[in-house]
Amino acid sequence: MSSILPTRLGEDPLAITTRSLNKRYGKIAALIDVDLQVPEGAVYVLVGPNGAGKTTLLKILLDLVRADSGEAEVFGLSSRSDGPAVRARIGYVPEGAGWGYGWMRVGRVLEHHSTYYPTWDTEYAERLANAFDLGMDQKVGKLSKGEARRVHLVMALAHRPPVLLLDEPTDGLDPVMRDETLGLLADHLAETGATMLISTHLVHETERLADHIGVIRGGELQAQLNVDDLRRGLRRYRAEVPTGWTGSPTLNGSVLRRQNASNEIQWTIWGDEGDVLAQLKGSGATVREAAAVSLEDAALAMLSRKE
Amino acid sequence: MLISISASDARPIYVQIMDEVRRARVLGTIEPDDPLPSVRQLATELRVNPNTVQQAYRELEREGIVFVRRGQGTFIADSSVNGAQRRLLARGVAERALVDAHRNGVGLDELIAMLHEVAAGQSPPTTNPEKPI
Amino acid sequence: MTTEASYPRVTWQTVAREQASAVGVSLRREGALMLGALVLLTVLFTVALVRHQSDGNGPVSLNLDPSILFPVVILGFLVPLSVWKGEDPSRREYHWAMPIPRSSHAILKVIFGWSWYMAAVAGVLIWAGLIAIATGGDLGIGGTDGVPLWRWIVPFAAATIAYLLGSMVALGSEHPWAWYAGVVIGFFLLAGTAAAANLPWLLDILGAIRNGPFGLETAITGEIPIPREVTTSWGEVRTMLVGVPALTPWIGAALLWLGLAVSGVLAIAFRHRER
Repeated sequence: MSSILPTRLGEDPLAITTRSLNKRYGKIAALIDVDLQVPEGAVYVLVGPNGAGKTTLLKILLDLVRADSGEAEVFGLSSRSDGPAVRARIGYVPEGAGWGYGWMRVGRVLEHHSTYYPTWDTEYAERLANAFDLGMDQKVGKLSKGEARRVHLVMALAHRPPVLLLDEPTDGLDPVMRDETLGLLADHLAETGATMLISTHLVHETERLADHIGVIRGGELQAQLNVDDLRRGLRRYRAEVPTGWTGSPTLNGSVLRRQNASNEIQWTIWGDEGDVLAQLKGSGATVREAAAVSLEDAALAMLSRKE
Repeated sequence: MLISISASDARPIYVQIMDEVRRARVLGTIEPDDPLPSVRQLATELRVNPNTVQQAYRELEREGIVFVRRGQGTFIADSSVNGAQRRLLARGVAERALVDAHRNGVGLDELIAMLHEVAAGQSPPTTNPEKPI
Repeated sequence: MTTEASYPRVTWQTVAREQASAVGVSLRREGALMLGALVLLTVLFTVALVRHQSDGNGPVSLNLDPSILFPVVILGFLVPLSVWKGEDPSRREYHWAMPIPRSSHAILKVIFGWSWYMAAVAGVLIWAGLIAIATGGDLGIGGTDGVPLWRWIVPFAAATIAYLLGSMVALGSEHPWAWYAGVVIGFFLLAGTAAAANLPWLLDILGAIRNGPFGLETAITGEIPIPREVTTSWGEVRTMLVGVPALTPWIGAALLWLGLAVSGVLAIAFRHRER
């Protein structure tokens, strides 16, 4: 499917890059020619349906999975050949609850994890553990999914890595803890200026934190851009059209989504607002509204687009 | 000072933050030399990217509404710009009203007449979703 | 902010210290079970001895012999499953995600599991020695009647071989129990087929793998089967195969199987360099 929105950032420096990354699992193509670009200090939200390849992408960055072809780099270090150096700079929260040793107590797991990261801040870890309401004495294997994931968050944040890879960070958490997590992430960002790559299908939650967005669908990166650019270039237009209106041919390429009822049509269109308005008015439509689109609605429009 | 923002608002978040500070200033909830929360505090409280807060504070400083004291933070500047801020806020309200009006096919004269009518009523105007628009 | 050379990295000393401790924690339960078993056995021995003597029999002394370590040696096949608890290959992502080379990390864990296990074997030996002393038995050291030195080394070497073979299975497969069962059942099936279908060459091969000069059983027990005349408990004299300690075959077999096991573990650990 061709991309309507830009897929290349023109930004520099980049903390994470992939070039023509491909990965197949049998007949299923998890990643097709993916060129990921995450600028330093960015909060990049990677959006896509389940099975779209997001988790695979994160694992390739960590060298937990090998790509079939292409390159993946973090701060210029190759994930494939410099795995240990790359992983030293990354805090990773995997999806699901299985991480760390289930037979260890929470306190011991944190201690164990901390020895591998000389930048571990014990006081920060304690503060995070308190904020997450974690008890130190339970065996990790006996924790609920929400509790286990909170332990994972502490493990990832406490050594203040320059890169955070978060796979559905709020999944499994109750609403209070989700909110708390977002606050802690904002605090962490303010203090460390870390680069965050968040894979999620809950765009609404991360909307306030995100400054970059990537949309991945069927293994392909359909859009990759700065949130400000998205905000400027994407609009939802509502217009009344006369009967027998045939549409505006020049617009068809940039329409992401279209809904119509009787003689009123609603489009989500990517393009310069002035140009689009001129084209619509020129074709005989009366534009009633040109509203900004929330990140969530933008992601939805891009993901539900039919060829 | 309470700052509240909404992701579903048409304005970008940094503009919302700026408007909230303007609003507090105009209403007198904050005075010159009062401190604003630190970028970190506000970002954490609002669950917002710190760069966004930074952008808002930078723009507010550019407009002269706040000033930065090295090592101490951001503070409300003197009140001489108050009149301009009041106008800016009012303009924002008017723009939003007009956009809404246009969306619903309400003309300018009709809008003005209705504004007077509603304002003359006893209870303060509400955005009660159950009353027909 | 973070160029190639400038990021703080963990040292191998720190990792080693932590793995030694972490593996110890993972074996805590097994250690407690072993201790419990030893205590139970001590109590049972004491009761049996007291009863034996109060029945009018003379005092019994238990002599120390390295072959009593045999059960602990066999457990060596299973110890790696506890060392790698909760970390079967499909779920080993946590171990893999650590910021150090993976194959070396795996080998380190194998080494520390082995160290704790050797300590346990030594512990059982000491316990048996204490019982021998308490009952006035012979410790079997020194003297022309004593147990030769090499026979004291046999159980430790055997335990190491068993542990390393078990580590190959724990590191390399998703269903270690299936492998164990498979090998044992497979062996017996082959033996049965060889006997039933009258394939003497197959029986010879299987026999060589077991007790031949380089056989696994030879390596583990330090004995080779020799036909001897034995008087059974009902007075009959028969010729049976009896295990007899033999130094030269043992050295060959032990070195061979140690070599195989070590190479096997290294090969599987280095396979983790790529997936």
